[in-house]
Amino acid sequence: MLSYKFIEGIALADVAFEASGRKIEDLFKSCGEALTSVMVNDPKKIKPKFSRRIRITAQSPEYLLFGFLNKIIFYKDAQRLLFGKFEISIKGNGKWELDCTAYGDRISEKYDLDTDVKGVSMHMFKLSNTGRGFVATVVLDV
Amino acid sequence: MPFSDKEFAKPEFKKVAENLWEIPTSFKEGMRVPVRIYATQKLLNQMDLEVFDQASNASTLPGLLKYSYVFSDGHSGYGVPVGWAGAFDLDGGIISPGAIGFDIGCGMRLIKTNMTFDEVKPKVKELTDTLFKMVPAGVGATSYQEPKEISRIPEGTFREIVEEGVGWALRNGYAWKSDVERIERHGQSADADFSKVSKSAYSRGKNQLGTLGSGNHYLEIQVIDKVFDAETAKKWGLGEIENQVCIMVHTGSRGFGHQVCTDYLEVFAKSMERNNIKVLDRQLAYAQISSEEGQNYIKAMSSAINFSYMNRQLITYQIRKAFEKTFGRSAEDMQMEVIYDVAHNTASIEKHAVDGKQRNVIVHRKGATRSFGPGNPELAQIFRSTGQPVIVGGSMETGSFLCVGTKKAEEDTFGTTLHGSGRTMSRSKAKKMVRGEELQRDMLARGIYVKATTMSGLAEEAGFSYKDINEVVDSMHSAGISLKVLKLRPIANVKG
Repeated sequence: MLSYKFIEGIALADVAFEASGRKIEDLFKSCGEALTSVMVNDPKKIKPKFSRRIRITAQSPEYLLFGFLNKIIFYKDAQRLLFGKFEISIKGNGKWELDCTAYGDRISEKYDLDTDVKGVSMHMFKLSNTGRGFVATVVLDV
Repeated sequence: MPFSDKEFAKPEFKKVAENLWEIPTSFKEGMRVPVRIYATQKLLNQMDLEVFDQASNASTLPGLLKYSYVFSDGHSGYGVPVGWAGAFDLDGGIISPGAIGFDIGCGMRLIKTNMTFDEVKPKVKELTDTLFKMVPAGVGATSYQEPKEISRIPEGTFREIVEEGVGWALRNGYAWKSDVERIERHGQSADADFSKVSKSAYSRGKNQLGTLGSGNHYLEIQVIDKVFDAETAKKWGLGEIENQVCIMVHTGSRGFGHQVCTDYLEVFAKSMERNNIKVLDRQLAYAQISSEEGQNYIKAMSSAINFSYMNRQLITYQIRKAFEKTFGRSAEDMQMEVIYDVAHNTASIEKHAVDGKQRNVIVHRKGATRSFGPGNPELAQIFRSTGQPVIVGGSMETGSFLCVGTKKAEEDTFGTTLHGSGRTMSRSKAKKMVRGEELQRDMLARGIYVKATTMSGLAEEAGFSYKDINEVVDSMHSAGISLKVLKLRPIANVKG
């Protein structure tokens, strides 16, 4: 189950959220949906008309998440795409690899658009394995 | 620890002078210089504690000179507070993308007209609706379809734009000759080098010239409400017409600049980790200015600053077209001249006195405006006798100010002052307190016509989310850092 909540009182002009997932792939999906939900009010309503393959490698799961979220923002500007669904597999063995197919649609007035996201800051950016699942904290510049 | 549980320490403030406070270096381990805060007692009490945590984190950066400055509009950001400045020695100092921000070159432009409120009012709805169409805003906004050559820019042209800045616009008919001297740095940051910018940054920015973005970005039609310094206003071309109509624009470098920051933040953070250099907040990742990474970032950042000047220039071009279409007169006939354009998210190489000696420094400004005084050789001739204009954008409900820079700013704050109202409340909280539709109706009843791409975005920008603009401006005025010239009130607004 995807899980995230927005946090008030942190970085007042920006948006902060905490996300969680039992498996690391679930965490990434939660973070992807949280990010998208800042830009469009109900990401689940985004039609899966287009897909994009996102493949990233990184030295740590944190940089993997950083790269993944920045890729979502990249597609928003470069190709006017917003994604409502992510199929993700992650491997980590010294080097971390993400292979994701993201499904979505072009930005249009038919979606209840909200606030543009500029980037993912490294302020308080953290990914932790609690032993019972994974948790991430993210601050977005809007 | 999840940051919902994070608590920030409250400092013991030392009062240095009226409305000037200091946090000593004993507040946090590693602080190299004190934090200086320009604020009334009320504004100081209003600042969230994370402001002081972030300002004191910034003061641990190597080579920071004199103070870590927070201005009266200061509020928590990411890395450094919004409303923050700090200067580093150019020789041996550092540069930090996080201390400049994602929206590199974000800033303000003020455009005048010779029209009065009574002339504009009957057509303000038609004008604003036209502007809403011709200056795209909101999530993923792309350039208006006309002129075609800027709606989808090939890479070669894009390179020219980000290296030349507004000079490109002048060569290609999108700027008046008089615009150029009215833009900080004459609309060009000379260190720009497109080869230091990623393909991703180009891909994000190539369709976005002439767009507003969203959040707190806007295009506002305003009326001069009160003149404090008629002599300075007159020298700048303002204030001699009763209820003179002006236009204010707040936007930056869009996806292009945002990607430049993202790219170099990652480069610097990883470089620091490899070299085992610690910093209290990874958003403050830095590199030596003289290093290859540092020099590359300066060149990429300068490209983004030029994009931001060009973005506001193309928006000016569209605004002039919209006024022509609405009023059936030429923009020249309506004297739609640029008063000033100044960025408030930058790093700038400048000469300042430190301990009585002139030094080359790199001044980082994050939500802070340059505030040079009379006689400064960096200023265009038209501003040498007065000092530079400082454009302070208020909330869409309360109005904005035009101020002037001072010699005192150059002496005390590396020539820097506030940039806007400053938030007091998070976006999510503001949305819970008011519905955008209700706010829009309420503002219309008060004579402010607002076109917004989203109602939830509008609610986030409600006036109650911001500090009292009069108090924040008065705070810097009483400190002699930026002096009030005139106040403008909004009559219409386009928001992303």
